[in-house]
Amino acid sequence: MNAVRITLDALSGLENPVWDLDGAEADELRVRIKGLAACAGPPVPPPDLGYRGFVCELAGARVRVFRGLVERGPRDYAADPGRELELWLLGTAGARLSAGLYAVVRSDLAKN
Amino acid sequence: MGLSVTLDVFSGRPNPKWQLSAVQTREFLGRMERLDQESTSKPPGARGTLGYRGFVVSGSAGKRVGSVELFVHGALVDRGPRALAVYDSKRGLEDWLLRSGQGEIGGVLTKHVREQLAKPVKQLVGLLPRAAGACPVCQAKDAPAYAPGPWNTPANQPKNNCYNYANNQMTGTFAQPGRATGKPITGLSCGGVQPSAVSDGLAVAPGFNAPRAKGQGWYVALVIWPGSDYHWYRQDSGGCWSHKPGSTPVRNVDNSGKAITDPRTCNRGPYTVFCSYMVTHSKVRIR
Repeated sequence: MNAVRITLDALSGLENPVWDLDGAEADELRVRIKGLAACAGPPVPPPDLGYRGFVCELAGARVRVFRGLVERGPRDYAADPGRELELWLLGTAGARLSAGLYAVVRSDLAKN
Repeated sequence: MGLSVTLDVFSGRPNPKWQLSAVQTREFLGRMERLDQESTSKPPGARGTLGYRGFVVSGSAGKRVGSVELFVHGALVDRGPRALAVYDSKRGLEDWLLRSGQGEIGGVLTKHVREQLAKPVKQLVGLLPRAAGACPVCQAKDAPAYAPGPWNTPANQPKNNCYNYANNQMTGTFAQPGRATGKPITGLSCGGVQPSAVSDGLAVAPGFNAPRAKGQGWYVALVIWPGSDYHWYRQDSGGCWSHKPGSTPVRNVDNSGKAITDPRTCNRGPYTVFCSYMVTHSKVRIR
């Protein structure tokens, strides 16, 4: 299976943090996304400045995860109850995020 | 360069699809660039209903714009997951797309779509205000006009950031203060970023009310998300300010959706530290 690239969309001047998931983590992400129940969109628009969600690049497809909603395509939305997928994605970042950035994302994820 | 149009309307049968000629593609792109009111809403056809659900326009739109996939319905044009929609108040784009498909669409189908286009659009939420009215007077003769179109294309949007936009230079390098002049930023604080911008040719200004004649540049502003990032705004010729948050689209509203009359006082989310106003000009070097 190919690697999956994750982008934390949050920064403006600096490049957004990017990391790859391989093997078991990539497989788990695919299973998680596939297992989500479809729902009616549209998603909550992200703010201009600050945390704007995660973008997952899987085999040519771009999946956006933000505020409990997963945008799998132009008109394909799925619900992420409890924002569990976002929390899981944040957990895969490891030490790549600064303490300040991690705190802002964690604080946003606390809003359910 | 060639765009295809799909009329999303059928359930059992394949949707009608046709190709725009080069002339039609240019006209379509011109019409798109003239739409300047943005919205945080999605076209209502995204919900999926029976009958007319909109047009999907996709393909290569030339070197400057790149490849596009647009969804046009209900007076809104969805430009993709990371872009704001644009509002087409008179539904002229939908009408034009319908006319471009004559020959591919039968009379019954044309009548159905025309009837839908004649219906009033339900009240749109998330329509962003045009920056106007309360804007301060712009004192800089060189200030660029607010024209987000070329910045918000698939080819340019991801590769240019707030520093590119403030300096009105599309380098396609996600430009960093000081990179062009060998003085990279030393920290994510005012003292860590501002000297690098000065090295590129920008100058600190006490405010944005002093007149600047032609050739003397325009006003920008530097703000900091302490320890995480920096961000730039620019004052446009209309007097209000606009910005480009990272790889997202250019916009002229703050985090509250309000026109930006002063970046010192607008809602900046986590960019809590205001460093200073500065002046940039067309000969500043960035990379």
